[in-house]
Order: sequence, then C-alpha cells, then structure tokens
Amino acid sequence: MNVINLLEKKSFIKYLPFFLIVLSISISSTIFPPRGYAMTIPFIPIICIIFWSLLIGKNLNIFQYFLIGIYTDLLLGTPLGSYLLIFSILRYLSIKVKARFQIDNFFKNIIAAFILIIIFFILSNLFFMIYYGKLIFSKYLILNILATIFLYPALAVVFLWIYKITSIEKYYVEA
Amino acid sequence: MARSVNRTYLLRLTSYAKEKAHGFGTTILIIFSVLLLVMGKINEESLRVFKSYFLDATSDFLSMIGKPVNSLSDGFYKINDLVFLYSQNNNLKLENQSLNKWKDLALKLLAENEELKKLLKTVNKDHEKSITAKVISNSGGSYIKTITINVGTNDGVKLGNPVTNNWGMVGRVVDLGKNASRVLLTVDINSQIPVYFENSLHRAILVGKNSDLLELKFLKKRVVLEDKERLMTSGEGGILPRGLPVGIYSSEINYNKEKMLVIPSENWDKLNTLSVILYDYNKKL
Repeated sequence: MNVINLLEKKSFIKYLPFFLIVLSISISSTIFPPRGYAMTIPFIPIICIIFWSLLIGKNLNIFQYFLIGIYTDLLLGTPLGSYLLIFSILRYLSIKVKARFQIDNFFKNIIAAFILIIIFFILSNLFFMIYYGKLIFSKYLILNILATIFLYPALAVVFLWIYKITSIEKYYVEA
Repeated sequence: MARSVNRTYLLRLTSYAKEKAHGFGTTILIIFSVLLLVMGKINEESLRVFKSYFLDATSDFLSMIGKPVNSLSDGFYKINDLVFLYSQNNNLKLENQSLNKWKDLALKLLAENEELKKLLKTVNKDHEKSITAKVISNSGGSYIKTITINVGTNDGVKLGNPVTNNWGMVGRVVDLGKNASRVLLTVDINSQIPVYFENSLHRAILVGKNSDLLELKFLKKRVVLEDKERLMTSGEGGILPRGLPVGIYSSEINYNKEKMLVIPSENWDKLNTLSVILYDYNKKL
C-alpha cells in the first residue's frame, strides 16, 4: 500500500509543472480585466511555460506541450493549433537557451525569460498578422508585453518556492 | 578498459538519440499544429463540434475556479467604490435630475407615438426575447477579444445572436455549446458589423481594432456627421436585428480624417452580467 502511495506521489510530483501550467491558464482566463485597458492583462500562460521550460527543460515533454497548446487554443478561442505552434517553437528555443547559456540561477532565468517573452510576442504578432491578414498593433499590445515581463519575477518566485519544497528535480533524475 | 570505452560510447549514443528524438518530436508537433490550422482555415465546421464539447466540459470547472478569483477582484472594486463614494453620489444626483427631464419627455412621446400608431393602424412589431447570462471566462489578451457565457443551445441561444449590456451591443455568439457559448466582442479584429447612423442614416461597416475604439469602413465620402450620434445595427445580412446601438461617433477623436473612429458601447469591458437577444434570423427571413 505504501509503495503504491509512494509511486502515486512520485508520478504526481513529476507532472506537477504540467498541472500548474494548466491551472494557471484556467485561472488567468477567469480573471476579469480592470476596466479602461481594453481587456488587457498579463499573458500568464507564457510566464508559466517559460519558467518551467527554463527550469526543467526537456522533462516537460512534447505530449504535455501538445495538451497545453490545445487547451490554451480552446480556452481562449484562438484558431486551433495557433498557440500549439507558437509554444512548440518557444519550447525548442527555451531548451536551446537553457543549454547554451547555462541558466542555473534566478537572475539568469529572469534575463532569459525577458528575451523569450519578447520573442513570444514577436512570433504571436507575426502569426496572427499572417493568419488574419491584418496589422495588429495598439498601445495595449505594448502594455500587454510590459505587464507580462514585469509579472514574471513575482510568479517565478512562487514557482521556484514550489520547485524547492517539492524537490521536483530529484524525481526527474531518478527517471 | 574495453568495458569503460563501451559504456562511454553507449552513453554518447543515448544522448545523441535523445537529442534527435527531441528535435523530431518538436518537428512533429509543429507539423501537426500547421495541419490543424490549415484544417480550421479550410473547413471551420469540422472543428466546431469539438469546440462546443470543450465549451460544455469546461464551463462548470471554470465557473468553480472563477469564484474565488472573482470574489477577490469584486472586493477590490468595492474598496475602490468606497473611496469614490462621495463624488459618485454627487454625480448620480446630477444625472438623476437630468434623467427626470428625459423621463417626462419620453412619457409624452410614448403617448403621442401610441396615438399616431392607432391613427395609422400599424401592426406592432414583436419584440425579441432575451436571456440574462453570466460571464465565465475571457480571452484577456491582445490578439483576440472573446468571452465565454453560461448560456447555450439549451437556453435557446443560436449562432450569431447579439449579446448586449444595458447600453447596447457588445458582441455576438460565435461558438455554441449546450450550456455555454463563446462571444466575439465588437472590438475584436475579426468583428465586422453593418451599421447606420441613427439620425443621418449613413451606412457603413463597423470593424474592431483589438483596442478600445472601433473603426468605420465603407462610409460614403463627404458626409456630414453629427457629434455624439449613435451607430445602430442595420440588420443587413439578416443575422443581427435592426436598431441595436453599437457605438457613438465623436468628433473629438476624429481629428484624423483618414480613419473614422467610433467609441464602442458604454461599459463594454465591464464583464459580469450580459443579455443575449434570442433573435431567430431564419424565422425573420
């Protein structure tokens, strides 16, 4: 019985980043944006995705990315496959960044995340411009980018705390 | 010695294989997403069933997790209201005074209108039914402006039904589930509504800009427009009913003559309780 419990706990903790990302996407979609800012709030899904990609890299596997991408598309009402495509490219980039620049401390993580967030918005803008055939640019897009960048450190602290108290790394090493 | 060489070789081989598998997996994921996008672009109907199932499946879950989040934000709004209580009260008193004058005028006009209708023997137009809906979730991004509401086909909602607040139209239903629907807001870049000016009757198309303003397109050149004139749905195309207010034209924001901008419905971003007009366009046609 204890062995089964241990195994269940182990597999749950292994998938904790995935569940946290799904939960934060769901919660962020239920937050009513403050009035007067054209429904602009920080794009929380990308904060979670970048943080966990930079921290656990390939351990957030392709199938989990597939589910996250599809879930985001369906929840936000964007064309099916759009965020899946952007997140896939971003996963590839964040793993490359992690490997090349040895992201091993919090400060480096934040710098890398800032760059990846900007890349994400450039990719999204390019994609939606091509898909809709319209120029998407407003002062609220800039606000969206800035709000996402400035919220990143606050959420990163919370996620890092979860990462440390659950010792997620240990489970991946064993795997 | 030979055994350690073999082991190093095996480790290298494993890491090489993992690297290749990772690259291959990402490529598969990208190809699959492109295929999904192409499929959605070619035949949107094929994905509609899937989307409506998802809307139904997640509506309860989102309402549940949205409760603590919304109560928190409600608390902030209440604190904000308390801070501005005195000034708001003064403003409301002034507004009430002016509304009383309008109420008298409206009652007189209503009586006059009824008398004239009797004289002309006009048939009364049946009013559209509407239902109240609560907002469950929203897209909250810069690229798409949609919300999800807690009413669907079970409540008689149809695709294209207009969604209004107490001022006017804020969007229309684009995805439909049994108990939930997705609403495309008028400010979304994909929203295009045929409209007319309430007094001058000029026709145009009102297009969203993913911003807090709308843009008027296909308006005739050299037309004289009144300041603070309302824009109403013209009902052309048959999907929307005629005469729903969508925005206000203001000369203040139209100093640039190349682009005609319009202010959307008042409080369009106050997403809490809305009404869905159960307009049956098939019946009307």
